[in-house]
Amino acid sequence: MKSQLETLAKVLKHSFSPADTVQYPEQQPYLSPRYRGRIVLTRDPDGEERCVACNLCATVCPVDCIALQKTELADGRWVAETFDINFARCIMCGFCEEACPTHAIQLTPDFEMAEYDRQNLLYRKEHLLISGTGKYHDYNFYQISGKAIAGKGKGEAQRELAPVDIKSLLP
Amino acid sequence: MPEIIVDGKSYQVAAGGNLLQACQSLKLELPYFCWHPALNSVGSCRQCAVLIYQSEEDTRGRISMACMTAVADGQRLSIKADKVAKFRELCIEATMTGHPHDCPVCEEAGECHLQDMTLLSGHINRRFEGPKRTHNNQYLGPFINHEMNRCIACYRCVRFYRDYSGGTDLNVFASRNNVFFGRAEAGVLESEFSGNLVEVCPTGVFTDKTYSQHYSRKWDLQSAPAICIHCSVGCNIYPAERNGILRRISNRFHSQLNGHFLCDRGRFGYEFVNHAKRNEQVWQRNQQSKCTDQLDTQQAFNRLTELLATTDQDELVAIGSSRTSLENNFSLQCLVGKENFYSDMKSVVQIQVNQLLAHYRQVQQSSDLQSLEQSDCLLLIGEDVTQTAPRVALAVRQMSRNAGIEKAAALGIPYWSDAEVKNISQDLKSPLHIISHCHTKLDDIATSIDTRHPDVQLLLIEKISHYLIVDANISTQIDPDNELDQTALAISIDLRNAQHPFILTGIHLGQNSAIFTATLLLSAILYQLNPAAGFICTLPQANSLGLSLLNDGDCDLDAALQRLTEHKTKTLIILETDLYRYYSVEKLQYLFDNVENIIVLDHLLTATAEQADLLLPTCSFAESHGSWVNYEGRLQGGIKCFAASKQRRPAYQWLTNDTDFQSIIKDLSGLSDCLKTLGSLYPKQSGGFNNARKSVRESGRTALSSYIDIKEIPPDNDFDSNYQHSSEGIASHIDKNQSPAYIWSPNWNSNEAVSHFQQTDNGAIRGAPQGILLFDKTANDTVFRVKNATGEAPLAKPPNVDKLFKVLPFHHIFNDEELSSYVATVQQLQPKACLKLNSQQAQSLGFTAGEQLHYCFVPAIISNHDRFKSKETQSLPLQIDDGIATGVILLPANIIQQQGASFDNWLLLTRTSTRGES
Ligand code: SF4
Ligand code: SF4
Ligand code: SF4
Ligand code: SF4
Ligand code: FES
Repeated sequence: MKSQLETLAKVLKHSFSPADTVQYPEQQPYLSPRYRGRIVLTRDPDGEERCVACNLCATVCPVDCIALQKTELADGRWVAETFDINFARCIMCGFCEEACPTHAIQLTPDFEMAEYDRQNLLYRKEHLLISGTGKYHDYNFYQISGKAIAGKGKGEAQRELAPVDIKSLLP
Repeated sequence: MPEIIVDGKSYQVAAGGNLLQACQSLKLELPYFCWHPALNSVGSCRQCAVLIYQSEEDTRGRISMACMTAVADGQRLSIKADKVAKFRELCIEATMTGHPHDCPVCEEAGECHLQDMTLLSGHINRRFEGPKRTHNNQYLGPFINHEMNRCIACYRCVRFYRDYSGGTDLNVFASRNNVFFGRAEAGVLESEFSGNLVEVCPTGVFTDKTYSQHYSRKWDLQSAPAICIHCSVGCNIYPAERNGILRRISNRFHSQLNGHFLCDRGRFGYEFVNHAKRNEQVWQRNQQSKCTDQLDTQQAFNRLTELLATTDQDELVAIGSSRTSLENNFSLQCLVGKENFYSDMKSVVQIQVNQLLAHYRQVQQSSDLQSLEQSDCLLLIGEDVTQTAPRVALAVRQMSRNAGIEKAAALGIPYWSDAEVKNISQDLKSPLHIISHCHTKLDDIATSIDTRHPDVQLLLIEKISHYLIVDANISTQIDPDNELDQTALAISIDLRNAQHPFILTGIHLGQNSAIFTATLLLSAILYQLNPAAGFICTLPQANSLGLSLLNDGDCDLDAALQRLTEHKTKTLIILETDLYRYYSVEKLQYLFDNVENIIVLDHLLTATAEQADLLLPTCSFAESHGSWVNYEGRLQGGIKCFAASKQRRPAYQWLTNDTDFQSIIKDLSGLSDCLKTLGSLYPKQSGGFNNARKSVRESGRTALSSYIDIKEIPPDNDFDSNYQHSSEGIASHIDKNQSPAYIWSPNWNSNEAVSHFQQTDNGAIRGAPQGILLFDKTANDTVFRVKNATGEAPLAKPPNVDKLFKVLPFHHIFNDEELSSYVATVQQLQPKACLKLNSQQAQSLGFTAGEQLHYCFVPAIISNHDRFKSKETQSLPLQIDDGIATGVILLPANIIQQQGASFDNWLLLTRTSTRGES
């Protein structure tokens, strides 16, 4: 009997405590920058597309909802010709971001992606690519990689020696 | 069998090998770089270190390279001991100090032997903070990409390119960790086997440029065991597809044929499958509206039935194809009846193929490439195999190394100790004699080269036969001044003395019938003298032999054309063949105009297909199951790799009203005793699990087709084989009874995983059929429906020898074969068409190099077939080439094939400016 009354009192007490529910959408909750929401493709500090179409995100994705096709620019830079994410399938696990060797693919604190037509849940490259660097400001893959691209020849990446002169007789 | 003890466990291993081979055959995981199953050991990479113990008491052991240590009975070793594991890890760490941060943008990643070995050795963290050495890259042609930074200096590339395949333009430059592997100057790689660098190089230095153009990681590819259709060898390949595009071809190990290597035509000639001219729809010419209508599949079937129903049997002609499968040809033959079915080979070729069939049946079976590699004396007659069946030439090069290996063996050096064998053998080569009308790429390893006029060649071959029959001591009676006698005697002595002598020849349009007959006779004599003697004869196309087995001897292409001109024909069915390759436009136009309905089945819009009244789109080799008979009569089955798009369907389905594949092969296998086991090439179980054509790691399954429809499209079905178009099902490395759909094994992502699929060291792939040898002695009936061969064509005499040249073809790996000629990258490497004469002849006629000359074919025998012979003269520039016999003029093989007569061809040359003079 006593415990029943106690319980009743506790329940009643909650009628006077402030509500946790916020008046969404008028009122927006705070989401930390590392919240795992809508996925974007970012650019490097020079403003070039970061994604090199390496396919690692697609491979690691547990629901296989990323599909892309590699192509190459005239200077040898690898980029994605197409990049599709099927958000009807995505479980926002963030594995893709973790796997990405270039910090291209990032999850953002945005979850407002509801659609009336399921087909609209397919985000293609033009929907995914943003103009900034996202959460990681400095990383620039091609400045570390050994592949030559326009403006960065062989031996000009970080911690590289000048190309070997194969005609030299020095040991 | 010696017993070795590895990490406390004892194993039986094969004698004579090294420890790395032994560990490979035991499927023990021992890393390696510089060793290669076909290139053997040099001990330079220090990756395969093991700890060898002197005795049971020895607990310290000493570090040794497994690849350089011979197997000995009772040997104790450890792979896992800390000391040696640490050694391997340090080695790889040192190797990786200069390695670029490239994996995400490296075509090799995902099937990189370096990645695999790095992980296997346990090196996962880079400690080295210093700078990396870099290299400039070179342009190496349309096939191979060069990214030298990634090199780990294992030397496999140069050992393959120079030592194994005889190339000269790839080399190693500079020294110590600066070594550079490339050409002296940027430029197209000259070897016909350059594509193998992609697989031989354990890193991403040499990668497949064509694959990179539509790149996909290995784990995303769908593949199935298939047969290369670009020449008569029938190398085993893996085509690999993703999303409806054929992405690349890679090697599929076959111990008796291609081993670990393919030629560039086979590897890079695949893009006709993705060609812009591929047929995907049924088209019908509409005479009223003067345009082409598109039919749906049912309408197409109805139209075909209607056309056939309204055609009398004697007004129906069908032409089969030597570039498509046996099943397709068989279905066409059943549809139109035996008497209306013709092959797509000109009679000169067909007659020789029939002769060859008779030879296989009555005299001697053909040999595989493995036994050619083991031969110790080879006589090559009249075939430029490097250009026509390139994989055979690679085997010839191995054959020539045997004398050196033998010499080393006599000194106690095992064959696998590559550097030592090379050092000991120096320039020593097994005897290779070449008799031909022009120089070939094999000249560099030849003992004797006889570049002669065909008439002299014939004499020479007959003399060799003669000296083989008569006792060798007859040499005393030989005229020492007769050079031909001397040569013939020398060759016959070499053939006699050899343990496994070989005769190698080939059938092509320029092959002289008399020479071919003499060659067969010579081989028969040799075979009688020595039952270990081998014989190989290459053929013009992938299924030339298969088609000839189906077809009656005299139903060749010339006969078909004769019938079309002489008898009224209402309906003509042409299966996957382009007649414009064989006849001139005028000749065919006349014929096509007289036929009411031309039905063409093809997967490409060939010139012939453009003439069709009804065009039915068929499947390429990658989209259909199908069997092929290679040069030796080996029937091999190719499994389809991916499902055909749109209205494309296999020709056999169009021709049999949608009969399934299993029923077709059931009918086909009833044709002859030797086909009884055909079904074993296409096992089909009912119920149970199928094998997956895709890897378990395949990505993008729920997004790949989302742009078409966000609801996933179900995978295609394959009811005809034990493979399915999905990553679900049994993975290839688990199912031991099926030919693997792809080569992958846990920890081994590269093609090096092949050792995990081999029954023994370098042996056959478990579960994979080796093909059915149709002429095997155990098959008592090899006749399909064929009459005996019709005999040989006479050696024609020219009407006026002085002003005429004997025309013979020159072949080129990228020029001759039809399907690969559609590929843009292949076209880049096709030589410019020209006429070739030696300088002496050119001089005597006053012609200079580069001059544009008119030529005109003069048939030696005026036969009925040549009624439509083009009287028009054509012109080509002249090239001087001193490797050509006098009296002979060379023309590109495809031009002779199209414009020449059926039998012997003679050519009249005229100068462009002063016509009429020769
Ligand atoms: S968040 Fe997870 S489910 Fe979504 S795309 Fe990335 S890996 Fe796939
Ligand atoms: S992992 Fe990163 S770089 Fe690689 S394909 Fe995905 S987004 Fe692009
Ligand atoms: S060669 Fe291998 S390890 Fe090196 S960058 Fe390419 S994939 Fe990575
Ligand atoms: S290029 Fe490749 S095969 Fe040649 S040495 Fe370097 S890593 Fe080895
Ligand atoms: S594989 Fe043995 S040292 Fe390279």
